[in-house]
Amino acid sequence: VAVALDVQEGVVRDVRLALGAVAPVPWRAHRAEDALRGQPATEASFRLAAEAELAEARPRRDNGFKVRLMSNVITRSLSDLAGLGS
Amino acid sequence: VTVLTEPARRSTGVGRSRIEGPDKVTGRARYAFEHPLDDIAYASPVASTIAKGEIRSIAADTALGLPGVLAVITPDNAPRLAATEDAELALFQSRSVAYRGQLVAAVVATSLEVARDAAERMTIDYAAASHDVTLAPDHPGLYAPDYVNPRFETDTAVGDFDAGFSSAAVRVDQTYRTPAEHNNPMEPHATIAAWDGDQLTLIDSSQGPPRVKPTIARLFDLDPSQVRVVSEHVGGGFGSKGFARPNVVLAAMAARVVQRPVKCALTRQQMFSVVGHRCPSIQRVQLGADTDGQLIAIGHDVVEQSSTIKEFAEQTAVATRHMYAAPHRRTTHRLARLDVPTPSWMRAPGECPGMFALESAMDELAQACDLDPVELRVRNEPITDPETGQPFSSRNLVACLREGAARFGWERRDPRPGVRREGVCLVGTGVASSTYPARALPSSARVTVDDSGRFEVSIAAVDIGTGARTALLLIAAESLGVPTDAVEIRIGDSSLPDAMIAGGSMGTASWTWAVVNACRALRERIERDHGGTVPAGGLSAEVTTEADIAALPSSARYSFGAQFAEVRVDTDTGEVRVPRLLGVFAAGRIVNATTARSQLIGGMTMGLSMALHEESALDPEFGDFPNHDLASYHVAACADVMDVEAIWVDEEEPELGPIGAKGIGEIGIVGTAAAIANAAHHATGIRVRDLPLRLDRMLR
Repeated sequence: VAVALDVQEGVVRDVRLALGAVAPVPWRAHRAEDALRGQPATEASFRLAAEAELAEARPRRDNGFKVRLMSNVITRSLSDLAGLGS
Repeated sequence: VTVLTEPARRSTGVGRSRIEGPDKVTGRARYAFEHPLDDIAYASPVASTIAKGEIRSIAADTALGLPGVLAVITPDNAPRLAATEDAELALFQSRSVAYRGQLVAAVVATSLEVARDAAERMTIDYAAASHDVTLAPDHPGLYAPDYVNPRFETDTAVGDFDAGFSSAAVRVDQTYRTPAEHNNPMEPHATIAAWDGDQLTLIDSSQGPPRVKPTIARLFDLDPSQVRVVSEHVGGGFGSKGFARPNVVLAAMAARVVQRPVKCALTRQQMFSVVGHRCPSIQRVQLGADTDGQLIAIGHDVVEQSSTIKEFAEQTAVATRHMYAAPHRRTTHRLARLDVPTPSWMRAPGECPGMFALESAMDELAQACDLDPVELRVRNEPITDPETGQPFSSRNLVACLREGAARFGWERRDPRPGVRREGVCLVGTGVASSTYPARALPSSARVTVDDSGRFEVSIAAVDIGTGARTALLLIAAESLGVPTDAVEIRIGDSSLPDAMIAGGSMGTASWTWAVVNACRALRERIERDHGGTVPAGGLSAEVTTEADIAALPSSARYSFGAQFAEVRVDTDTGEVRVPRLLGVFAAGRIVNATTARSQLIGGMTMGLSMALHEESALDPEFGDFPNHDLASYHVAACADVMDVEAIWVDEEEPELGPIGAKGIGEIGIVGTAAAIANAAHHATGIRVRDLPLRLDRMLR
């Protein structure tokens, strides 16, 4: 996961989020980015944004775990960057 | 002129760095492929691209047209070999393909680059047949082999297992799986072959030059005296270099075809097909016990696989036969023959995968009995071998468990799983027992002393990176009663007195037996015949241990150990880390503390690697191992290993040779994976019964 996050006064002004190893190409998480802009920079919003991105994920037989893994890693990366700790 | 003093055990426990260390780190030590020879040619094999079928035709014109190509060897033109019963070595003697990656042709050229390029340009037309590469517990082809590796009984039964198990108050009945794994020594299998008339010299990366010699002699219809195999330095083998592999045959054949010396080194990718691997296993373990944890019944039923051309039946349930007491017992092995590469010896074959299953089941039983897992093992300690009734020559499993528990801080352990959280991680600890047979096989050694009082010890042993050369030096100096700098060790050459291979953790026991006896014989001659003074012209003594080993008492001889692991599991990612690993071993006399510790923590590191990383995935569609390189087959690296420590308890082994060294080559890997999996369960409450502990298995 690669993340760029711009938070001002506790609110997400802008965010860029890209995922690797989840699709045949590097995956730009536009849905999560759209869901986050203007939202409070909290772990709850990060988790919601991750879930929004992954709602339409279609895992294959052997990689279903990646949906939960990505949700966790997106939430953790955003939280770390926002200085929320873990 | 030397007057010898009485020998003392002054080398015992001394920590001595390996004597060839400076040569290795400065590059002076030569590995097989590095030996310079004039007029050398290079052989590059061509591997099959189907898993089953026949070669219809081979188009070699393009390859032959490349400048520098000397010859193409195929089933159409290959020299006939005098022996073909080992189909893995019967190179190019048939047009049948038994697995994907089997060697079907080769190119010989004046450079390695041209040889590889030409090999890739060989066009082979196959008539492919449908293949079966998938092992299943109910595979229709399962059968009971006549014996399991090397000559153990396939099945054993004591008492009435079914009745005993069903009557037990507490029962564990689980199935554990281990994947195919590959030995992956750092140095690939490599050979230089040079013919001088009908004399063949092989410089080979081998664990056993004396074993390669007769094999190659038979294939090429030579007397063994016409073959010399030299393996001065070997960069690991882990079982895969225990006998001649196709690279040796190819080098010898190619050298004969082109009438020049030939080098042949397998690529890492080729090593995943033609030099053996650990076969996957499906293991059902059933443990029945009283509520106080006293075992009543132990059952261990193994399903595994071999290739269609060679039977290798891993002795996976054999360790279960002597670990714990119980009146009702059963072990079985069933084998399916699939269209896969032939499995072989790898890092404690049998004990290593088998003890993952048994020691995981023991952890499950401890939990079911609400009993500490160390205490459970102590309660089931047998007095004599539980299947044969033989006495143990020495057995200190309980001492290892107790010592390890004390050092690890086990008594403060809260048994509840899944309750210790540190940040995003769950933390736990686990324990497992280790065991490995303590054996020796006949070997010979010669000790010579010259006028100046210099001793030379000669034995066809081999040092595959373990410190064997250094151990032999320490033992020889001790037995002769002279400083180590008065002794020269000559090993790694089949022309030296015949010896056991570096395998089965038997090297030190087998070789030191012969070396000590030769040293004693020489001392006796100096003292008895020459009044304690080396005569002019020097003196020599050569012995073999055949009679000594034939006279070994009928006892159960094993090393034992206990491994303790601390594990941290990241609950977001499922990643497993091992902050602490402690192994405590009872393996008879430890000859050299420095190299022994290195070997034991090396084994434990491989056990960690087995627990967390190593898995050769077999592609059911194409029948090969697609992760056939070190990028996608991860072997634990320094960053994976945090704190690993190995110690040993004092143990006197009275039977196994004059020094009582049981061997430490393999026990370090036995039980490690179970200790880590048990710790992961203690951390998370998740029981992983299929190795490795991939993050998808930890994310639930």
